[in-house]
Amino acid sequence: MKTSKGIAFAADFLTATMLLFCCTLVIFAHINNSVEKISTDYKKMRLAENGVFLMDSLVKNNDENNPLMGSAYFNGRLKRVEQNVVDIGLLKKTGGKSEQQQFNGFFVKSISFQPKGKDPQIIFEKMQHSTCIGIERFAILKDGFSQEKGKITAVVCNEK
Amino acid sequence: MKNDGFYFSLDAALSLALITIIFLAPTQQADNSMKDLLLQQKMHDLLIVWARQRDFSKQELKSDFEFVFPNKSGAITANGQEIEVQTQFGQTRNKITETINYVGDDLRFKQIRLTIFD
Repeated sequence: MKTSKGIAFAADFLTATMLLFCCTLVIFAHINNSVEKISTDYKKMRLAENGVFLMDSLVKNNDENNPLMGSAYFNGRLKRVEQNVVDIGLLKKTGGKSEQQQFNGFFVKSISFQPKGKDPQIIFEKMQHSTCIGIERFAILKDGFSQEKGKITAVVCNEK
Repeated sequence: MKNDGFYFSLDAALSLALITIIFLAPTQQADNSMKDLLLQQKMHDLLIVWARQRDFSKQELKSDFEFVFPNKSGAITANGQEIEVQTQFGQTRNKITETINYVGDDLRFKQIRLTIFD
């Protein structure tokens, strides 16, 4: 049946449908973009979290078998681990075993230390490329009988 | 002739467009970089080292602060003196303060306070 409303309604319907499609498309594109961003942010946050906890463990614990998990100085006379006093001799052993530089989902790309007022010294550095962040801590660096203040830096990276 | 249909669907289309705009409005991003935690950990490091070494000379405290936080301004209160450090970076609204208590040579509790303008 032909009515005078036909053309107006068809144009109206077409406009509404096109607008609906456009809006739906924009919304889905936005959701897709947001999901990707959240996923990337989550990976970065996990990496930062792992790096922060690893460095905290390094300056506060002592682990002769895995110095990356603890390089704090063990004071034999007081029979206790001194937090924020890093045993450089022990820290230098972190470069030895590459399997200990590998963790679940991330790895340690480099470890270095910089005594105050001096140049940084790299203990080990890998040439792998990935998303990485650097975590820095301040401590007393104890090397034998000498000690000086300085920074320890670890670069941790996501596994690809 | 009634044209209600046209106006109603135009109204619906405008509503849909409005909902889309609201949906696309930028949301405030949470800081997931753990920047604040790392900053506080470094502040604790400084306080622990200072409390251990007990060298409260103005020059030493200032140089330690500048070494650890090269781009930030702050204030240190130790041994009864207050030192402002790297004032050229200005005092921002976001301020973090950490303190450490220790027993001094006179066997009295003492405190070191470190403030950072982030």
